[in-house]
Amino acid sequence: MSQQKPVVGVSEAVSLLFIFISAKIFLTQLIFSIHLGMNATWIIFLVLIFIGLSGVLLLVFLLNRFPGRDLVQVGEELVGPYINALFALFYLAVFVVSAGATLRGVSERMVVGFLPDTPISLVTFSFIISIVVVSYLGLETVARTARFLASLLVVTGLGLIALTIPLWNYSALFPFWGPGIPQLLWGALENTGDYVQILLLGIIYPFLPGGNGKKVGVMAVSISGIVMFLYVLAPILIFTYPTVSELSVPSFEMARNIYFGRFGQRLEVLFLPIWSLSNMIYLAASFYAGAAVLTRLCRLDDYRPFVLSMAVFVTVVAFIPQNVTQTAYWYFNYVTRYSFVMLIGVLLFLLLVAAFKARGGDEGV
Amino acid sequence: MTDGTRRTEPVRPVQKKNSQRKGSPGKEQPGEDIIAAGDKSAGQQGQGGGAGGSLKPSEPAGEVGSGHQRSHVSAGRAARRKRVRENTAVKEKFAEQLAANQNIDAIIKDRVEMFYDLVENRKMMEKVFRVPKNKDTVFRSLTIGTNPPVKALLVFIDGITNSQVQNMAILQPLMLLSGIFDRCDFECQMFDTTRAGYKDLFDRVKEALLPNNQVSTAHNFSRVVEDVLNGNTALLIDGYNQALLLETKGWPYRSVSTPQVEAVIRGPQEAFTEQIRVNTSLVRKIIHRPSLLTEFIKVGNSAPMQCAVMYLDDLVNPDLVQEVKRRLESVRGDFLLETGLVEEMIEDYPQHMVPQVLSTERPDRVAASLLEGQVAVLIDGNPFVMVVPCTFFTLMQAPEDAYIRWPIGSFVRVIRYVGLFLALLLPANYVAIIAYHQEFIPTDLLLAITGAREKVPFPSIVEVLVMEFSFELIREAGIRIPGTVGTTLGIVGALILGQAAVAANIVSPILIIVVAVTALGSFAIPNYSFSLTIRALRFFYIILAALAGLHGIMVGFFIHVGVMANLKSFGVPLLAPVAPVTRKGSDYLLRGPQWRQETRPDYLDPLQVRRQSEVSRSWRRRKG
Amino acid sequence: MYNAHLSKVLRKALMVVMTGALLLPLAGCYDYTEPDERAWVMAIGVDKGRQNVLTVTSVVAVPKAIAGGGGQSGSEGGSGQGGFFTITFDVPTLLSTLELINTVVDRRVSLSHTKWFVFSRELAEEGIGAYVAPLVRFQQFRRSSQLLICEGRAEDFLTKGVPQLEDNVGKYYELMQQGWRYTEFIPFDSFHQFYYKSENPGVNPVAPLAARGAKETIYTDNSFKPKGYYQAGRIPRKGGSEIEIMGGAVFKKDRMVGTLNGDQVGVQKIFFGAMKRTLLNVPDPYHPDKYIIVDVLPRQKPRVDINITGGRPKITANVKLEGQILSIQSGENYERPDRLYIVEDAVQELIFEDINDTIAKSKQLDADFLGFGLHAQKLFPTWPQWSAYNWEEKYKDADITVNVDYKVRRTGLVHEMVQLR
Repeated sequence: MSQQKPVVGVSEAVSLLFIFISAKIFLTQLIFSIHLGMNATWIIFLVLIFIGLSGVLLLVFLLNRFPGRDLVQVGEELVGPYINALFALFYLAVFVVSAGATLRGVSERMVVGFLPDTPISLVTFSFIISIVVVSYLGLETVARTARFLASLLVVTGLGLIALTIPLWNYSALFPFWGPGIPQLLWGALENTGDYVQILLLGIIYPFLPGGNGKKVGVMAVSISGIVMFLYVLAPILIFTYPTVSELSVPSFEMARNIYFGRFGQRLEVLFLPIWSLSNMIYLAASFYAGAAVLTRLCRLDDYRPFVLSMAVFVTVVAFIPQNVTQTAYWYFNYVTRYSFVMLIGVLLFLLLVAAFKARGGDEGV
Repeated sequence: MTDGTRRTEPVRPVQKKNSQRKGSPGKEQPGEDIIAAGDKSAGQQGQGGGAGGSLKPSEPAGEVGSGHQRSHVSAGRAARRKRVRENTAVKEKFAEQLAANQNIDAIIKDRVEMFYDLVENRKMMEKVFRVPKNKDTVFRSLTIGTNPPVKALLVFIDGITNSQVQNMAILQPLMLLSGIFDRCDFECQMFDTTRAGYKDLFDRVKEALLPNNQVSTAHNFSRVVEDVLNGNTALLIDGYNQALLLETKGWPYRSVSTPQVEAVIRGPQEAFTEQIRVNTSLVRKIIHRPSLLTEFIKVGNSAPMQCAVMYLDDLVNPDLVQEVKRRLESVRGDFLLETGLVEEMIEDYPQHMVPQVLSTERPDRVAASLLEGQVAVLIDGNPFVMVVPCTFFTLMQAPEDAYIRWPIGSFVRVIRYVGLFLALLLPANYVAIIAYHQEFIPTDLLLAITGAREKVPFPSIVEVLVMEFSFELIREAGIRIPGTVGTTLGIVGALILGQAAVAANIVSPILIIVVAVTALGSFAIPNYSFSLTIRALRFFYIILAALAGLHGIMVGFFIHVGVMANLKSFGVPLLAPVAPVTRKGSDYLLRGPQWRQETRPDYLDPLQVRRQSEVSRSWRRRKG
Repeated sequence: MYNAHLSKVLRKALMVVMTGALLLPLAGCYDYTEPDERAWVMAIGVDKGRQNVLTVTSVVAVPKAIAGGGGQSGSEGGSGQGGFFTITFDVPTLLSTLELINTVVDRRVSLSHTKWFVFSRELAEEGIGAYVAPLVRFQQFRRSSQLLICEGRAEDFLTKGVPQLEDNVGKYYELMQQGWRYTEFIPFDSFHQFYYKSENPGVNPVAPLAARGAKETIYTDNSFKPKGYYQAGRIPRKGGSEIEIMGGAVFKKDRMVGTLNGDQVGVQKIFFGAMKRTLLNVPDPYHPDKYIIVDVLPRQKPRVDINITGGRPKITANVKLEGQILSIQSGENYERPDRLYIVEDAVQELIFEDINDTIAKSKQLDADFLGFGLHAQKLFPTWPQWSAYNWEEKYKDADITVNVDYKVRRTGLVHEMVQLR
């Protein structure tokens, strides 16, 4: 941002956005959807793909009217700095709160699963170091890191699912409609926040190769939709309904349950990289995005001082909840439930103002 | 370019500020002269004048010179430069000699024109070469046997000239054969000097009397001195204020031999040598194209090194060539003998461990890279050639991948990446798993490891560090050890470190396997400096693993990948074509079949993207 | 300029990393433990307590006995005695052992390699839900381990259960349990399956039944008894190691309600697609007291169709099997294609009886361990409707029809046997 405009290719942007959206499947947040959707939660996630797609199309529709500007700048242009400051604070809150919950969640995961005697502060600190370094190096670096690691993550992620195939019980799919169709649709509405991370697209939009924003958004949402769908479906098939709703992290329990004879068992260490790397990418992107929002808000040109302040914010947020259950509940109640609706509200408001002012040219989408 | 991203960093023009450095004249080097001389020798020695000669427009001296001054050195660095104080005591003691030195340097720097008088010229040359003291420089006075005879002087440095050439192609024609036409001018009117159009004797000597393949004229001492130092012979003739520079280079050098570092089983078995002209010819021998250009640039101040930049003019991105040349020309280094030194001077991030240029000793590899649109930088006196830009994936390729059957080539590459993984992470993973994640080990193995460790007094991390360090020691000692005792070293190392350490319960047996496999992995990395990088980084990972197990490794790995993703080699991201994604050929991670290698790497932005047609095996097209 | 700036950035980044790297060791390596500073528990046995609520027995492996101790002598190996010792505590809860055990054992005890959780039958019949709970929550346990029910006290079972082939008792436990792959008598359910089945309304779990070998004579006559008639603790045998696994323990909710013999476990495995192969002694229809021995493999997973009419489930199960003739004691030429049906019919008859016997058992225990409920839940569109139907109640009134189809595919190494003269 300060030296030269970062350039993020389509593939990097898709990888970054898709990891950014779907990293939460490796944390506890998923369980709340299973409470709502029972054994048919996978249907919720299929519905959510369409909700996410419509959200991203709306975002792109707005941003395409103002080429070369990100969501904060567009808002400033449309509604002026004061109202826009509110919006920007909302974006920032989304990034900070989700990042805080993720940081806490992934640190707790490491502590519970792998390092039971290590104090959580140390684990969090080590995460923070790596994340700050990478996000400090800029959007290009974050995106390229995501792209480089995406192949590794996808292979391990699919490998984890493939290795559990012998444990699948197809009867777990029935009763087919789970809690019933209305409840499933309601469940989808309660979980819209799973796609609030498309907000990142609004921040990095100016750095994408022109005209590709829609492609990036649609591809990222579709891929992450498929990944989330698989990571909901597989635990349901493995653990079957009443049991699966007990688990704190289904993907972790899946890895622990892999059994291929005396040699191929207790493999969760093998899959540690997906938990840790995906969430580190998520956090690095959050740090960057939050810093970028702050930069725009303060009208500076260098995001880098804010990376450190983001680190402070996120760490503070991460340690506000007393315990890991509270973290998960708060995340569900504040981010998963409402944030997406609010984001859509902001977008619609901005579009309305844009239409009212008839600004931004007629080119549209 | 689906991504629409321009991968090559925009090359900024050389900033030409007028702030010419006002340094002591003794430290100043005549930049433009060196280049001009290099250019000339390139033109002289190159095969076709067309290739070398047209490259460097001889610019007006002043402008080039100012372009090379360190015009934009930051204030901080200049201040640091000042801190290097001159030793005043020494200066006072040897004031006389310093003055003499400055005087001589001034001769060269001020481009003092030559005199008409031979004696004066000789005095000047003796002064420059410090002749009574210096025994290498030879002043051979002679008389050219024309009518009337003329006094002349040959200046050269003994040892770097070919005396055979001097005797047969300079002294013999000048002393014995030069008078022939003068004596028989009745019979041989056609050889009449005036009718042949010689302006004067000097011109006649140059045109008719010296059967030497490359001859040029010089008017000032600096040029003469420069050429004499390069192994040429200067001929000074009485009464003329210019000198003839005759190509008589001939110093001993190693002949072309098999590659020492990048050996292959199948493929060409020749490697570069220490002679830059031989090296360029080795490349030229492979690529027979008029567009293969060789440009010469002198790098270094104290003892300037001849540096050649080779590229294919019709393929390579001109921005890239411009950038390579800009960096080489603006290097103000002291003495850049080896590619490693130049590498450090021109690469983007010298503070990083990852090599950002590919150095190879194989002409075929250089040729293949040039044909992809890369640029080769050759340094005189050095059997390694730098190829830029380089990516992570090129560092992991060996030329043999392409020479063996392509599925096998891919397989070999996969093995090599496994080797990279093992070399970098195996000891760290061993520590992490043995000390943090014991549940991952199969029970039988765990109990076996535990049983074997019962009597070992050290923690695993100490064991690993000791063994890895010992291994590095063996490797280092193996390189430094004199050849005669070298063979015993392997035995000693294996014996002491393997058998004895286990028998003495110093380390557990499984660790020997880990260390050995790690070593094998690091030897499977084809690029030597990259292999060293991996070896060094391994220790960081071991420490991280000891701190937080696999979590520590992952944190380190994330930073590692992040930093790698940030690196660029001459404007090309190090992780291209994976991150960022550019259009890929089938030859970066695996080796695709030869007939599918249709495009050059996109990240190089070559002028011709397609390298062969869609249907490259046209014999498959049946007629009719 | 660009480079200088960036290098400054990197230098700063490097400094951050270095500082971090310096700080980390100060904080210490909390979880760093050498493997030779840990003791691994291979199995845990839980009994009703004598001096406290529970008696918990831990089997701790002795690596030295298994690997032969350090140095070059690694190949010597142990004595084939399993290389373990047991240690028994009377504790209030299962996990108290983990801490108490370190008052006796010098190395820090880890449960991460535990293969078996053995509950005594006595305890299982009272309900083991309270003791199973930590197994799904505590990080060192894992669901891929095995839950066993043993006749008698688990303490004796584990202490006396010395393997004869293995140096490593953990390997012994795992291989014993993996017998489900080649005998029909050992249930295949790992703890994971056991656990989800006990939470699922449509199915009841079966745990492997184990016991110490019987010392005294069990059966008084030498009449023909199918081999699957036995179950653990009631196998007439001499020799071998002390412990045996055969048959299953049927659970309802968290309480054990009954046992299955070998054949019944085989039928249960057929319905879950887990039966790989079994040998069957079929009475020869034409020669009383002579047997045809066939092996039986599943041809496809059994097809279960369920109709619910008037709230009463009507279940039709089609079991398709195949196999080869291994022996015909009478020497009669049943192998001929036109007479093969005789063997097939006999086998079908026998398997039909086995299945009916097992179904009768399940109705008697009122526990749907054959998993018909898993098929029934397909009939319901939503989970609330399925719960409301209350399968556990309806199962015992179910009308179950079984069709068995067995095909002889090959006849072994003999084509047609010649009669003895």
